[in-house]
Amino acid sequence: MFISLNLLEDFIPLRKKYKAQNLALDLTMHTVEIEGYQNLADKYKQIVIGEVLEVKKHPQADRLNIAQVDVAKEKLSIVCGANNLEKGQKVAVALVGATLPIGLTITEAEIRGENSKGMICAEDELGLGDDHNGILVLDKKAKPGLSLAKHLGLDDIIIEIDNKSLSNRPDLWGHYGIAREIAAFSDIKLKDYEEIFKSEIKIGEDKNNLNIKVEDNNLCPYYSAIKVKNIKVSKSPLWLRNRLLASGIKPINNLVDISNYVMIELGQPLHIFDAKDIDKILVRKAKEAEKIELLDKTEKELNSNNLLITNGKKPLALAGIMGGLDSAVNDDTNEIIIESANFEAVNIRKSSLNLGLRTDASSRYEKSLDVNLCPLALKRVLDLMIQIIPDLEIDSQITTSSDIKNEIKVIDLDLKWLNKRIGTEVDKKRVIEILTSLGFKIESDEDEKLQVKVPSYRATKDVSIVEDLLEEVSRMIGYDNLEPASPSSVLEVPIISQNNKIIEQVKNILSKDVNLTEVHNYSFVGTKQLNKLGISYDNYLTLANPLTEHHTMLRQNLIVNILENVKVNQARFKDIEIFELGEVYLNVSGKLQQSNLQKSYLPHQEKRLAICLASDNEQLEKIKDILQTFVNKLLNVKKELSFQAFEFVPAWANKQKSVLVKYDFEDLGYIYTLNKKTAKDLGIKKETVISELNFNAIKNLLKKQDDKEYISLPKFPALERDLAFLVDKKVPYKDLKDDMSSFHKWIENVELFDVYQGENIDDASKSLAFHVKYRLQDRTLESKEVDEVQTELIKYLQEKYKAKIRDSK
Amino acid sequence: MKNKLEQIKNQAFTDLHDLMNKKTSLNLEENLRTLRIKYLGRKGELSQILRNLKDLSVTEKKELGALANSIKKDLEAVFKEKEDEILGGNSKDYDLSLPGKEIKTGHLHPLTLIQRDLEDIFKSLGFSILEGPELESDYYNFEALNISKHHPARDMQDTFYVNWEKNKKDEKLVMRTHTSPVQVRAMQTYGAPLKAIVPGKVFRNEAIDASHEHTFYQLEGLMIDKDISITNMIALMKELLKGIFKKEVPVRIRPGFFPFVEPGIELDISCQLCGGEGCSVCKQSGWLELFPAGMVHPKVLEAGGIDSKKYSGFAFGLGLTRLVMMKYHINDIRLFNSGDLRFLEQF
Repeated sequence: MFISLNLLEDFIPLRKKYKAQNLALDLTMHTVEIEGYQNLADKYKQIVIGEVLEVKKHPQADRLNIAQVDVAKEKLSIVCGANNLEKGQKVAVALVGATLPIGLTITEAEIRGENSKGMICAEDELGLGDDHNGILVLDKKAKPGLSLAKHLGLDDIIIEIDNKSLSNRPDLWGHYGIAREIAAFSDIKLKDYEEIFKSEIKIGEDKNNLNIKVEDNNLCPYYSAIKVKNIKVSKSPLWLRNRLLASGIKPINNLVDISNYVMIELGQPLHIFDAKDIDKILVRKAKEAEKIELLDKTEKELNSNNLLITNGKKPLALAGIMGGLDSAVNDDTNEIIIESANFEAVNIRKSSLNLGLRTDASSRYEKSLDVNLCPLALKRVLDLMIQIIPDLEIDSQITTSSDIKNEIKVIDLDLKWLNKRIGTEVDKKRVIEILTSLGFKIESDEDEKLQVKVPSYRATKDVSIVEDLLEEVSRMIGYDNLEPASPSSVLEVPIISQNNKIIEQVKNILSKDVNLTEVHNYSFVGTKQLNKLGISYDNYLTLANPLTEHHTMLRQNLIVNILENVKVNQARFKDIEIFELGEVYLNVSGKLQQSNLQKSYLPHQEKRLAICLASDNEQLEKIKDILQTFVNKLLNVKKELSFQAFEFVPAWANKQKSVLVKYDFEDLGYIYTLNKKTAKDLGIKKETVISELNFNAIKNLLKKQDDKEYISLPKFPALERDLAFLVDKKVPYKDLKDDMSSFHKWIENVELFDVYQGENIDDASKSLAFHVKYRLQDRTLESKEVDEVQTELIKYLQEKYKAKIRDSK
Repeated sequence: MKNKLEQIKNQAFTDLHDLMNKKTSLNLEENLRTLRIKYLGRKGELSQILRNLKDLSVTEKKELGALANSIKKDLEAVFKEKEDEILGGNSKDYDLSLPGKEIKTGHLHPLTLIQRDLEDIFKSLGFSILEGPELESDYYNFEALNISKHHPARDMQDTFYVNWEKNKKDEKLVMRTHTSPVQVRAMQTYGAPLKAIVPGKVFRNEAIDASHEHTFYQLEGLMIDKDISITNMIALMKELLKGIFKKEVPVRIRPGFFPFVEPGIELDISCQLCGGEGCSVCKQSGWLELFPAGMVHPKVLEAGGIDSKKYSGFAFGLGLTRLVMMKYHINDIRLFNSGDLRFLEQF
């Protein structure tokens, strides 16, 4: 929202005390965030008034003229195409070097062989209106050489307020509310709003009431209107147009301008109807699919929640949002009805959102306006109209739908409580001073307890509890003026979030011990990627309002996006070794409740850990090494992960080279090798493996570690035998190892130390070599007895696996 | 003569053996040189014998000459060997200035690094570290935080809504727009008093460009106890800033509106990029909004099951992503989710 200092000055004489910069700072520190301020005259730098001394035809171009223009300091020759240019006119001249509000910078130019030093401007080029029918002709009294800004009264400073910081303050959506705040923090006295009225409003006793009926008093708690005739629609006077422009509102005609002006003064929207077809006003809900053509020339189809102003037959306006085209004032309008009404905030907000219409009016109504503004605004409109259209005649009584019902809010304020909450002693006198300057009334004052009455313009929504008064007092003192004080809190061991600690460990090992780089990816995926991977997304949760086609669904694995990381980096890096720890979102109910009030649950969400390696050669073994090292480091034990084939390998993965990863009996996750076809479809040129592990499974492993106990050191030595044999390639190592380990109770450990396939071995076989460790807890084993078991083991392997022994010692 | 030669040889080996087996390296190099001169030097024992060969017969000359030369060779070899043990031998040809070869290193994401810094600070102040779901209910993300369905404050946060067939049609889920929902969840789980932070991923429905992201990180803080005051809140925030920036940073605290706090404040810090002079990052103001905060609204305390008559508290939100950008002078927010190793390997 834009605030004009000139307009503020009408309500509070602040120019003497404040520079714009200081005012902006004080407003920021006590009331609302100021985005910036601008001297309006800066927009019109080097644009001055000129007097046209002479107009000649351009010798080379029929449509152009050459004007001699006096700008006091010098006489300029300017080529101009406007057809309304005449000798003797006072015009706006942009000098060489000026930049127009529309962004054009003026340079000295040669136009068809004639030198032109500047430009005579049209209204639209100056951002003063829409008119482009020739140049802007100023009044005769304008003084050549004077800056245009000064002449037009545009020497104003505009402060821009961040609208977001106003969302809870309906009272600040007009200049008067801002002036009230300034008065509260500055000691400058605020004028009563009605002090600035200049006209006497006379309504004949013979005038009738209008016929007004409101069907739903909840949606329209108050409706007032008045009829005025002998209206002449014309351009507004300059001062009014300037004030509107300064606040960022485009002038239209005197009627609309007046209603907009009162809105920027008070924050109360008003509407003016052409009274031609109106003999009655009925405020009602729209019928399903009822249509209205609006001022902006769009047609909207309505539903039964939208509120309409009608004449009993057809809609005149969409209440609180925008007027209808049929009832709009136009150049021929002679009689009008002025509406000043209050509409319920939530309904306006809903309607404006679902019709996609945000207007100056709706954004004010949806903040919950004070109904007391209605009569005040209506009076002010009449006051201005009488000033601007002196011949008008008021043709009805001010007619209202009901009396104003003021809900009176009184809040008990305990000063001891206040001081405790602020954290410092605030003098009672100061508290009362602050509250009264903001319009609060002290109803009673006993000891340390006050009863504070909330002014109506703060009572609609903003101020309702004692904490709101705490805010009023502390912001007016200024937070920067409060001395910080350390809280005195009881010693307490913090709640240890296990996740946090584990995440830290996991990330440290992955980045520091196995040297991977951490990536972050979006939580969203798109159909294109999933299609390429052949992942069905019927079961994916979808965004109701996605931004782009790449981000329409919630990811159910980390793989899809981490593959994109490979693509991004493959041209620049030989080896890509990355990990991500992040959330996935599944379409099943989880354990977290949607609210403690009802038993419904959020979708299950869980953390996954993805590790991805991509390089020019195969990476499966390397990723196994990484997983094994990761688990060993995390658990501080040496224990083998088991890797095994599994059934439902996804379509994008190589079935021969994808494995299930287990620790003990716990599934940790999978390793997948990206298959060639999918790699090609994705544009990935590297050999890529991905492991996706379940973070909870990792967490469970660590939990088990909590029960870890010391195992006493062995009292008797172990005997070790090595065993190397050939078996069919297809026999998994895992089966052999498990069988050997459980073959005899003396066998303490079986460890693979060599695998060989290739030369000197037939194609169908592989050679495996193991250390087999034998031990007993209660005596030393003898070599002979171990050899006997070893012989049996060999026999067993020969029988079950057709193992051919190469070496045994 | 022959005996003499053998004797010299044996003596040399013994001396050398003794020298090398001394349990100290003190003066070793020097002693070795002395020994070498003693046996192999120009005036050494072997040279003297060789000089006397000229007086002998041709056969003797031939026989003893060959023997002496072979002994000389043996001794030279063994001295060389011992010298190499001490001095490094041929390795003196090695170019000492050659660079070290890199063993590949991994990297943590810059957000992880800064998040850890902050967690350390808070842990030392006795705060717990909590987490909550990224896909949230409308209730926890808005309603419980005093933002009802049609509150204009919903405009302040562009929200990604998520369809879920298990919910009624008008009850959409949301990608949490802030970490604040965890406030209420934590209160319900742990009650008061409570000191906790919640770092995490948040989402806004905003088109992406160099300075806007729909996915970024926040850190929520919450402290609830008896008689927590505004001046307590200010003290903690200032202490925190000292911890983050390792120096005093000029700040200003001004009113701000957030429905879940009352009163609400905004803490601005002097822009760290331009030093408060005004630049494009701080929109020429010289100040950067760093964290919004406020005294927890009684309705939020009540939603969390905490008696607002008995307890009060404050909450704050810190833009982690923004802090990282400030710290490392990163000018493009898109880099965080880019997976670009050229970026990630810098941290």
